[in-house]
This record gives sequence, structure tokens and C-alpha cells, in this order.
Amino acid sequence: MSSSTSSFRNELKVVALVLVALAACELVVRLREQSLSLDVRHIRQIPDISERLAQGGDDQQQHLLRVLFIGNSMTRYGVEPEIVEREMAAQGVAPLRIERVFPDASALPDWYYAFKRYFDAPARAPDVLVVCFAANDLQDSQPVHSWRLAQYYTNLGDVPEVFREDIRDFDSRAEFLLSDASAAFANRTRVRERALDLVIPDYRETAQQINRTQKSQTGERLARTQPTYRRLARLGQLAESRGVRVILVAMPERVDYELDPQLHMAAEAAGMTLLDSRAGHGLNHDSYVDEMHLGADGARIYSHFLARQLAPKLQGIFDVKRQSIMATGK
Amino acid sequence: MLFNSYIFWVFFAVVFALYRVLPHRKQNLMLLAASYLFYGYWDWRFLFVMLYSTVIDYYAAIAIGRSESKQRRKLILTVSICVQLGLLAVFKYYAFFSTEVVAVLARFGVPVSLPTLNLLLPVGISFYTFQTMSYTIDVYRGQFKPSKSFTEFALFVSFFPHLVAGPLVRATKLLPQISNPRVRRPEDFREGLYLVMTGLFKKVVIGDNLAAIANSIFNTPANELSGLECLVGVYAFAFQIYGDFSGYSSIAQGVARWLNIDLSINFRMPYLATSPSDFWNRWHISLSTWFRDYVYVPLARRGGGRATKGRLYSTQVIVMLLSGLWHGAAWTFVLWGLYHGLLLAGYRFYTETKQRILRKWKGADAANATAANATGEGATLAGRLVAMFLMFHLVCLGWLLFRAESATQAWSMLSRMFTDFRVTSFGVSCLALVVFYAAPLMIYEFWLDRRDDLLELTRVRWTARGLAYTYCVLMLWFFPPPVSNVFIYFQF
Repeated sequence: MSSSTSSFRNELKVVALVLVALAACELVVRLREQSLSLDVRHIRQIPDISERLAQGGDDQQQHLLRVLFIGNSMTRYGVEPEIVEREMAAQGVAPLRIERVFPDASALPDWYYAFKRYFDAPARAPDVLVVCFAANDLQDSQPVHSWRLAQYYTNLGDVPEVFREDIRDFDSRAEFLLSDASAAFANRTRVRERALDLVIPDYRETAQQINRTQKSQTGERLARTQPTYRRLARLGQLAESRGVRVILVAMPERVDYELDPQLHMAAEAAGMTLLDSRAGHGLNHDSYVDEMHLGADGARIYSHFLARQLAPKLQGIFDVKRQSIMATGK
Repeated sequence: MLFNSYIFWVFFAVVFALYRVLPHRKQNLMLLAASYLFYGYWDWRFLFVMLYSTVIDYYAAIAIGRSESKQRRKLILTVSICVQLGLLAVFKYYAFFSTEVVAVLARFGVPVSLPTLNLLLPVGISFYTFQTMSYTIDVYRGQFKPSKSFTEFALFVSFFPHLVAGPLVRATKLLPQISNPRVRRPEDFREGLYLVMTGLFKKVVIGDNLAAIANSIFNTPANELSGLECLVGVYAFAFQIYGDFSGYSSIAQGVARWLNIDLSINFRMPYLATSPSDFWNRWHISLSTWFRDYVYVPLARRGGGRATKGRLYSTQVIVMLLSGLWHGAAWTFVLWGLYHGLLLAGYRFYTETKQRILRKWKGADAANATAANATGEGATLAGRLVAMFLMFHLVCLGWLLFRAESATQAWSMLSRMFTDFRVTSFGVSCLALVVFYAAPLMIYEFWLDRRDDLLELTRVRWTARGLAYTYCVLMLWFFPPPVSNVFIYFQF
């Protein structure tokens, strides 16, 4: 055997060792994925949430209003479904079935495909979709996290739409395909956060501080560009095709943010209702645990406030649904 | 097309596949087309600037080679250098100098309005203009015969692995490798893999991850930072720029190696340097040697005869000032160059004075021993470590000037380090992150330095190398940077 062949074979062994290590990581992540974070556990529960919305058969479903709240960790910590349901009942809006979907750090790109994948079916579609957003979550400029879309919110059939509408550059498409194939790749930032959390003192606070600086720079850049809402219009069309009414709820943050004036027009054009709930009467600086997340007391206050704001809208939708049932004789 | 992008690797796979099946001449044509595609991928308009630079120096070198008259040769060389520097002046420096001229004249009560050009800086222009200049100068000096093939010369200028961020490769090294059929060597795959792997690790894991920390700290007003946070910001930037630039150079070398072409070494464990001159023998070696051969030596020897010490010191400072300006059109870069110039001249003065005194009082042996210590040869391990620590911090002081948005910001951050050195949880946490990402590389480089072989890892057992690569790949896989960054040196 020549030295050239031997050298090449040795390097192939090196490459094989690396590939074996990667395969082992893939296996471990697949087996232990749900222990990586509460968020993954929640995302993996979305099919169950969708199932719960579909439960009870047609008869039962036609006599209750099914409401799906979709948002991010602000919704997780800020909207208490039991309180909303009780407050709604007190306002005369009942019976309701409320479910929540709240993946961390998600925005409209994630919500659109999550809704499409898990709720875009006759039995699973809610009557009302409440989209809880803040700042520029609904704008087209929102970054599209290809790994999350690939691993959790889309299936093969969505790929043409994803590539046509949301992921247009080669590298993001490559990441999308890699994430679709590999759970380890798709969850790599979660692995990183877990590992750094273990070895770096005060890592979470530091990461948040670094993120804030980066976000403010990105925000400055985005502020210079004209916001657009094409994705929101697509969500409107998708919801309309299933007869789902969409309500956009602007969530409160510790420091108030500007609501883009064009959003009103975009929401109207997409057939959606925009509810400005940033004020959240009764909330103060201490209601928050950080810049954007409500604490337990804040969540209680806000859930009552939100339910009171939503009640007239939901009542109207409920009335239409009842009339429709009576008209069709079911 | 960045080396740390997927599209580059698809591009390279196609280039590599074609390269393996084509004969030598067609290989060159294909590499030239690929290089222009690679460069045009940023902005196709940049291609015209590069082509212009290439055509001018191709014909300039031929004219120099043909001319018998020294005066005519000199004239052609001058025209060629003026064209190349003119490109830099227009694209890179015009905005800076016109703003400064207007400001200075306004201070003297002379209102002037100069036209603004709003030109996009072509990526890597400083690299390829310097490379073509070195070619014409070498031809003028009679050190190299002008290339007769335009394809080969154009490929020398545009060869994609080193086109946009170096290393600057001399014609004497690269052109013969282009002109002659290349030979597949058994070690090419192994060494290329090593260079690409370590390069990607340095760029993505170290450079990009530490960029987030450095940016966060440098984008915060200095009065909101503690001294420790300022210091950690500088450390983070020191490893960011090292990871970023040496990572790029390493990938460039590795990719070229897979095409059976050797590029120059650009970095040799620079943070293990024990003196300013040692640092510049290890950092951006291809640029340092360029300035040495084409600026420092001619300036020091101007007028003929032996250069005086004063002239050597001042030349060193001038060369480093120019090197600072090469990095960018901003006062912070000029100050950075001046700082390193003074550091080099000061260190030279210190060692020469010390040797003179020793020679006078203790004899030649003691003076020679001191000289050996200065280069790190005769020093104890502890002595070397102390010298490395000191030199690293002197370099970091330079990075503070280099990274700061203004001299005021650099001064404010430096002041905080000496007046408000509070240990904050953010500072400690960021420092831990710097250590987490950079320490393994530093330990590895220390080992390499002791072995005195940059490619030592390619010579150990495959299992050890496999484990090292596994670490690199797992870090690349699981520790992606928050935001993927372009290479810093593209802007130069």
C-alpha cells in the first residue's frame, strides 16, 4: 500500500470517528429531547392541544366557542386560561374551550406554520385564534428560524411554500433541510444554552443583556425600513379558509412600545381585529419579573383585563356561530 | 460567498470535482472562472475594478520587462503603483480624507465643499492591489520575469481562496504553482482538512461567539461599564479578531491545499509572542513582510549607505502608521498603527541600549545572552510566560484603539479600567465565556509552540487527531454564534 493511500485511509478513519460522534449526539438528543427544555416539551404537546380542541365530536363542538391563544413566553406567563374563562363566563360568554400555544421567542413565522400544521383541519380549527404579540412580532422583517420551522412546525408538504415565501437564501434553506433531518442540529442552540448555563456563572442574565444590545441594534436597523405585513395577510387567508376569526392582541411590556400605525390597516385588510391591550389596567412596574414577562400577580390582573376586552368580540362571534347553527338546523 | 456559508462549500465541491478531471490548462481556466464567480457573488460591479487592476499590472509588468531604459522602467512602475494606489484612494480613502480636509479648512475659516462619491468599497481591494503591486515591483527589481499568460496572471490576482482577505501571496510563490502542472501530494488532503477544520473552529466558534460579547460591550456607553467589563470587552475582541482573521487565513490555506496549491502562512500563535517584534513575526505575517520588503527596507535605505538609528526608528513608526491606514480609513486605525510603531521602536531602543550597556560592562557573551532572551530562545518558561502575559496586554491596548468607534471611547474605556474596576456579575460571566471559547485554543497553541511545528497535529496518531476534530465539530455543531458575522478583514 502506498503512503498516499495509507495517509488518505487514515484521514477517512478520522472523518468516520467524527461522524460516529455526531451520530451518537443525534441519538442522545432524540432520546432526551424533551428534557432539553420546557419549551420543547410544550412544542411536542401541540398535537395534544390540537387534539383537545377537536374532542367532543361535532355536536358538542357546535355549542361551545373554541379559542386558541397563540404567542410566545409573554403568553405563557401573561395569560391564565382559567381566569380568562371565569371572567368570560362572568361576562356571559360561555361555554368556552381555551387552549394556548406559546413556544419561546416565537413570532409570526412560527405561529403561521404552527397553526397551519396543527390546526388547519376542519375538526381542529378553533373558532377564534387570538394572536398575542408585542412590538414588531407581526412584521415581515421578523427573523425566520429555519431550524424551528423544519423540526417542529412544518412537514414535507410545506417546503415549497416555506422556500417560496419565507426562506429564500441558500444558507437558510440548507439549515432548514439539515434541521429537518437532524434533531441535534435543530436543537443546537438549546444544547448550547443548557451547557453554558451549567458552566458559566450568571449565564442567563448575561445572555439576556447581550441579546438586548443586539436587539436594540437590529431594532434600529429595522426602524429605518418600512414595515410590511404580507405574512399576516397569508395568515388571514388561511384562517378565513377554515372560517376562523383572528384577533390580534398587543401585549403589555414593562416599558411601553410603539404600535405601528400601518398594522391597523394591515389587520383590517386581512379581516382581523386588532385589540390594543398594551395598557393592561392595574399593571405597574412590579407586575413584571423582567422587561417583558408578567409575574403571577401581573398575569392575574392582565388575564382579567384581557378577558373583559375580549368578551364583546367573542360574544359577537359566538352569536354569529349560534345563528349559523340555527340556520343550518344543526 | 463566505467560507463559513453552505453555498461556499457547494461551490467548492463543484470546483473540486471539475478540478480533479481537467488537465492543467483547463484547470487554470476553470479556477479563473470560479474565482470571478466567487468575487462577483458579492457584487458583480466589483469585477470591473479587479479586472482593471489586473489588466494594468499585467501590461505594466510586460512593459517593464521589455524596457532597457531604467528611467522608462521606473516611469512605468510609478504609473502602475499610482493606478493601484489611486483605486485605493478613490474607493477606500476619499470619503475619510475629504471629510477631514473640509473640517480642517473650516477650522481656519475656509469653507470648502468637496463632492461626495458614495462608492461601495470593493471587498478585498486592499489585498489584491497590494498583491499586484508586489508583482510589478518584483519584476522591476528583476526578481521575477513577467508572466506571459494573462490567464495565469489573472488567476494569480483573483485565486478565490485568498482573494478577499489574504494571505497576500507573492508572485514568486504563487505564479510558478499556477504556471506548472500541480502535483497531488499524499499529505494534501490531511493537511487541508486540518487547516479547514481549525479555521472553521477559529472563525465560527471563537470569532463569532466572542463577537457578540465584544459588540455588546463596545456598543454600551463607557460610563455604564465597569473597568472589568471594559477589560473583558477588549479580551473578547482580541480573540474575536484573531479567531476571525486567522480562521479565514487557515481555511484559505486548507482549501488551496486541496487544490494542491500552497499559500503563505499568515499567523503563528501571535498571542504567545514575547515582544513587539516577535508579535509582528507572528501576526498577519504576509502583510508584515510586504511592508518590510516594499516599504521599510527601501525607506530605511533611501539615499544609500548605512541607515542611522534615528532613521530606522522613524521608518518603523512610519511603516506601522501606513499599516494602520491600510486597515481602514479612520483615526482609530491610524492611532493603532502609531501605537504599534512606537512600541516596536521603543522595544528596539530598549534592547539595543541594554545590549550596549551589557557589552560595555559585562562583555559580548552577556550581551548575546540578552539578545537570545529577547527572542525568547534562552528564557526560562516562567520568564516566557511573564513576557507573553505582558505582550498580550500591550497588544490588547492596541486592540482597544482598533475596535473603539473613536479615540474618545477608547480613552473612556481605558480610564474605567483604572478608576472603576468593579467586579460585576456581567463582567465575570463574560470573562468565563471568553475563557470557555478561547482557552482550549490557547492551550493547544502553547503545545504547538513548544513542538515548534504548526502542523504537528497532522503527524500524531489518527485517533488523537480524530478526537481533536470531534471536539471542533461538536463545538461548531452545538455552539453556533448568536449572529453569523462576516469576516472582519473583508472591510480592509
